[in-house]
Amino acid sequence: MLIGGLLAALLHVMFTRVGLAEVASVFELGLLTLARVLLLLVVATLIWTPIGVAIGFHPRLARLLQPLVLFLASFPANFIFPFATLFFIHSHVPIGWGSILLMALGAQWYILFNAIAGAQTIPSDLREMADDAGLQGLQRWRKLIIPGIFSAWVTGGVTASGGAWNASIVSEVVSWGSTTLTASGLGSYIAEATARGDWPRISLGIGMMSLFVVGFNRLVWRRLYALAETRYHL
Amino acid sequence: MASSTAAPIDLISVDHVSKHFSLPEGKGEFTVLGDVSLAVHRGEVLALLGRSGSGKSTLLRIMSGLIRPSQGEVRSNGLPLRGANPNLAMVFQSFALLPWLTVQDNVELGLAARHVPLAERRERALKAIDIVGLDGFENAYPKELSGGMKQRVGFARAFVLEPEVLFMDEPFSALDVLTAENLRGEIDDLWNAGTFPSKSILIVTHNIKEAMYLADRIVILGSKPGRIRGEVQVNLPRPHNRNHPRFKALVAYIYSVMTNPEIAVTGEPDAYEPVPLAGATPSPSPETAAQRSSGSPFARAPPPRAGGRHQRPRGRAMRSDFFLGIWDDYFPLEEAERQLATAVDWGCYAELFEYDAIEGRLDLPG
Repeated sequence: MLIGGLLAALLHVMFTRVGLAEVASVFELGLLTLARVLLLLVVATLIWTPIGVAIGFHPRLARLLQPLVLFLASFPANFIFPFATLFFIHSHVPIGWGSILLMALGAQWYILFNAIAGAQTIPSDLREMADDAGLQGLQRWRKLIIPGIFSAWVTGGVTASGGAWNASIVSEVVSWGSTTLTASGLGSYIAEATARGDWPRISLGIGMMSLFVVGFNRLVWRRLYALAETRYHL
Repeated sequence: MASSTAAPIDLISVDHVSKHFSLPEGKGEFTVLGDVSLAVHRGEVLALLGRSGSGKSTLLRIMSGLIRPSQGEVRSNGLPLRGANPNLAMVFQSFALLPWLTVQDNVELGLAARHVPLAERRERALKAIDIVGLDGFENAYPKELSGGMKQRVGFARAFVLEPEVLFMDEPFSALDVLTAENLRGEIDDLWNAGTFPSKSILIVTHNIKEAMYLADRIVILGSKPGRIRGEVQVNLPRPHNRNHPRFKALVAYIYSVMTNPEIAVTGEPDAYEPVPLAGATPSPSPETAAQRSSGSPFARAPPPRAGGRHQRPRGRAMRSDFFLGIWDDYFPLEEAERQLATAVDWGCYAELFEYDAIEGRLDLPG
């Protein structure tokens, strides 16, 4: 009831001050940022999942690489931002794409860690059986590895996308000195509204972002979790 | 050595194979297997018998190509083995079924890996499922199956590949006694019928009776480090009759060998003579008469109901487990333990021997 009341007040404020047209355009900005988050997820999965599985399957490799991975993951991403911005400016990389890289700096590690953890939960007798059966390559991935790490991957995906959405607020507007790069997206909308102290627009932006995240959670992540529990449960 | 014209007798062999593992924190090396040489012959059932920690599972994995030895060579049909051996299939103690695939898909796994076309895969898998008696369960998932059924799927998965050698890693250990007995009997029947999908079987087990029942040759492994202590040729007509005197003698012999790690394995039980029962006609052998007159140690005479068995202690010590094992065949365990306790009490009181309770060992005095 409290949430309902807040929501109603929020909507009232938004609609009296902001207007329906802007709400629609903010929704479109949300779609843009969603596209960035999804692209980030796909690329991070393609790159970090095989590496994570290799590390998870080979404890000796894990011991070797663990300090490195921990260092990379705990390195403060924001520290790199100004240098990355400088790079974008000089190499003329549009910030619409560059912001994805910035968002990935913090978020991609969740995919890696969950891939490692997921690979470690696959029982060693299943891996031995697969070796004995001669299961290799794509077939090994399809029949053994992907189903085996699926639920861990979903966890990684949820946390990574959550982190990416958050990071979009500081990634879609970046500055170096007097130069500011602004990408079209929900993150930049919120960042700029915050800079101006524009309460109705701040609420609209954050409300819209929450809508996207919660909506995606219910429509996609919940379903994938259910699939992991029923079909791919070890 | 395999000549190019004759079919090799040694299907799989290991030559002076050792396996070391490095201990964490640089504490050195741990030798699981030390200088093991062994061959699986065509047409035989070979059992690897050893206690836990004797490296038998490691040896099995080295022979199947799943692990590489630290030293030594593994050969399949005379040729050095690189990687997992495609000529053999393994049945696992824990069944190792993929939980997200149906019985049919699990059985077809090896065939799919070899890119066998779909129609042929289906047909061969259905035949294998039929052999193991799971007809009708093709579309069931592993979690819907009992332990025995899951292991049948494991067998079907191996059979469908028609491997040269079938490797079994304690295949019945995870099943309850009756199911294990059932399945063991079916595998034995299949082998004895002559239509078995493999030319040889290698079974790793810690169960002496299981090894005796199934195998033609039993290799006994010692531990620390894992090595071959010796082998026993069963030399009994198939199917092995558990009541055959040689069967029982070998089981007792192997039991004593396994409980006395320091004895050399000669492969044949010592000749045994029945101890005459009280009131029976005295044996003509002067040796037995002399023992009776000096008072045979209580612990050596089996209870009156038994057919009579006699073993000489090696050295001056024997484990009390040995006697418990004999009585256990005839009495419930509690009763057998009670008899052992009584016999040990009386024997110690009469100073016929000494008993070390911690080690479970009976020592002749002096």
